[in-house]
Amino acid sequence: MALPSPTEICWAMRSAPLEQSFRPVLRAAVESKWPETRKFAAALLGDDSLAPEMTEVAIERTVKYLAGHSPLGVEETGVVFFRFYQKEVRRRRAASTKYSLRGTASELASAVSASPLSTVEHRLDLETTLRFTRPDLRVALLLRYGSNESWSVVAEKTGTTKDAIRKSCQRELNRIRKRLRADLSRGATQREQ
Amino acid sequence: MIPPFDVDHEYEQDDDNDTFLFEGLQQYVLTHYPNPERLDCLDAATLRAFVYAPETLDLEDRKFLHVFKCAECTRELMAHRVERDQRLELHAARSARPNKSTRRAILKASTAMPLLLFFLVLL
Repeated sequence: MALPSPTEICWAMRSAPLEQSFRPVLRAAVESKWPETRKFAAALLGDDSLAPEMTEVAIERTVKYLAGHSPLGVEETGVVFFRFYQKEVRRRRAASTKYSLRGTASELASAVSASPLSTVEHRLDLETTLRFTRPDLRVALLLRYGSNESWSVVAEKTGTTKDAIRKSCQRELNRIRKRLRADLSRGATQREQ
Repeated sequence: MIPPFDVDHEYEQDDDNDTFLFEGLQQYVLTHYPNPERLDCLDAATLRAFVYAPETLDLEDRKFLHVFKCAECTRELMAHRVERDQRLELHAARSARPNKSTRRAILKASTAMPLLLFFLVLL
């Protein structure tokens, strides 16, 4: 279906009889900006199907603006109109990209997947994770975990300093901490319930 | 009333050795990775060496990562560590005690002291 022309969508002006004086100016301004409005909608929203609707909104706002100001030429009116139009396009884009949170917190439990596979996938699997880390970090973490040596002893055995080895392992430690924190928080929540 | 368990607080208060973190990890492995069939487990001697002489093992070998995913190996390591720590404590206590010759000298001195005092009073 062909998109309506700017003259067809200037209905907002018809509903404002008091502003008869700037009607031809606004029509000319909208017509001059019409290809640009479609291009702008297509660039930001992916397609220009909403261009007429957004043009109507922009015309309404331009009419209100012009009513409160001294008369403008076609070019200036076009600038004002296009500014309102851009604002509307951006508003719609922001609305479409925003996450919408539906339902309440009590519905979350039923929304969580009950598949045992997902539990397995979300487990902290250090055997797999550490497989691709640097060998010296692997050794350090194994000594700290398996032998329960202090970082000082681990540093001594790996030929480095306590701070250096701790810092090197920071990424892995943070990963473990994050995962355990989530696990413990979940456990605490379940206990409270 | 039992205060609520504040995980974030516990992590923030963790010591220089990240003790809370590693104890948590150990607990996690014990809970989430039971391995009663002992699949891919390290042998008993290796687990013992892991605790007593880790420098004798090639820990760069990826097979050792198995301990991060096996409750049974973790449990064995824990048992070895308890044993090691007890031995170390015992050894430390023995070292702190004075040796036999020092003990004998102290005994002699404590016996001789009243006699010396007695003679001094008589004089």
